[in-house]
Amino acid sequence: MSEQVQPGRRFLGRPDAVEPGYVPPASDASPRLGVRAGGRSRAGRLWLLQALTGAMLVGVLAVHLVAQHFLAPGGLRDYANVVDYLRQPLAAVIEVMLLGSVVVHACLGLRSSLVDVLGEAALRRVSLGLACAGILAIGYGLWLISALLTAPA
Amino acid sequence: MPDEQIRLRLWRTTAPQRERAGFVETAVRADRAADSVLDVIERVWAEADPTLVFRHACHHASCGTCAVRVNGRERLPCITALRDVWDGHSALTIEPLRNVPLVADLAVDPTSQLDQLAALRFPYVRTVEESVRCATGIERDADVGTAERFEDCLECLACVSACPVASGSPEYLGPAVLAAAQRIAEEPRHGDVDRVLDLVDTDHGVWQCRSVWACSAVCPSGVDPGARIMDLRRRLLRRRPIPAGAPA
Amino acid sequence: MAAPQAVTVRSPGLLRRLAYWLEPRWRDPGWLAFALNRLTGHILVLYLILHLVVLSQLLDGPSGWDRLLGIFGSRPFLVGDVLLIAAVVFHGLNGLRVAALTFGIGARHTTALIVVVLVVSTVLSALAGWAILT
Repeated sequence: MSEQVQPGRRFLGRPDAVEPGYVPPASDASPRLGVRAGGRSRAGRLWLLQALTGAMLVGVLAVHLVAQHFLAPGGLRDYANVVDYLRQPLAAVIEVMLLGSVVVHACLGLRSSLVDVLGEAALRRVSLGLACAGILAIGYGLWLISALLTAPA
Repeated sequence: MPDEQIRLRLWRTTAPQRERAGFVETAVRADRAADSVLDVIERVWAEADPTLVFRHACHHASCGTCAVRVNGRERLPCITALRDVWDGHSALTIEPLRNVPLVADLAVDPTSQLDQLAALRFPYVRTVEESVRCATGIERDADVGTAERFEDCLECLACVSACPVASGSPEYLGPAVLAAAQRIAEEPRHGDVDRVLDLVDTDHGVWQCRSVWACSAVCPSGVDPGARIMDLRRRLLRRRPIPAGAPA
Repeated sequence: MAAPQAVTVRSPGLLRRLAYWLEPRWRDPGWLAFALNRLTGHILVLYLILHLVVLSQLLDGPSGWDRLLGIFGSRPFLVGDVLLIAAVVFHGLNGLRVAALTFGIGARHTTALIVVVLVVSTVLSALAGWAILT
């Protein structure tokens, strides 16, 4: 915050009265910086997205782990089992939800680690890179699922 | 009577007689039952080494000036009893706060944090949150009006020193500034709450907190910056967009 | 107030900025939870990349994939699976705890909840280990 501080004039701020002679600067009306359509800054919306994908993952990942390993005969699904599983509509939906939420959560998590290390300009570039990687990963996953579903039996 | 010997490992910066910064061991008299840690530091300065640089003022935890790290943990040495941190034979390690610019030895420079608090226009006087009924059952004295007191925060910067995020990221606003911002949002006292919320609603503001809670654990004054940062987040998440065409 | 003359302003070096969260402040339970969360997160990101790459073997049909199952079913891989489950369970439970803090839940009991998360993670990982390795 680059504010001009006047030495010796700290704002005392009585609860029921202002300091004698204190006049809030007229030019300091809040510009609502960074508050966009959602009423929240980008940083706030990214946090919310990370929290929501995380909460989603708790459920979806649990279902995935149980379905892929504990319900599968022998503990690991062979090719035929994988395709059979994906052919059930609910299973395919859950796998797509898993793909989306885990990739978004992972990219946001990496970004959080990097916020502490990078400056503003580098952070913007890295965020863009993570977004691209995320979109590619989701695209690849969707393509893989559709390829398995359309493969000859 | 200070008739025991205490070995202290004090952090010393470079000086004409010291080429490198590091821990220097010093021994002084101590009274484990009666001394505070600040008493011992002052005795080092008075009897062993007058070149020791340290900060102190009120000696009763109302100014926040003397904060240091004792055995790795942030404390106010003026109110830390020696018997609570010293077993009577081990060396006692005293070093300056982290994440705050160091002047020399144990003394840090709080200017940057104080300037940020001034830029927030953090008011130092607040209403008392609970009034105590006196024996007559009257809550308010007509002559005094609403009860007032100083804010809890001493600006001792123990929270900033304890925060792991602040140690890696100097851009982070930090628990002291964020807790002060929350106090303005909670009790505006003619402050501009929207302006303050805008200032903290950034990647290096409330959203960089990792909920470690080290700040609340070391605060000597019960500010609980951790909970206040979470409260700021809730206020930000509840904010509504400005309707199109409305003045800012 | 003018700054004193002899101020040493040391910006943290790159190593510090990358590894600050690994500092041994282990008696602070909040710090332990934070460091473990970040560590498990990074491990899981690496695993995710590996997993997505390995899944491409499915495109080779039954012969390609089923051959890999022999490797994935071996003891070292199963042990790795249990460790991964431990990482996922801790990361998920601690993540829920941290997210709840923003909404005011658990702020007064951070230490107790961290202990609960660690205990439940250990129990669930042990159960998963028993199910997978026996």
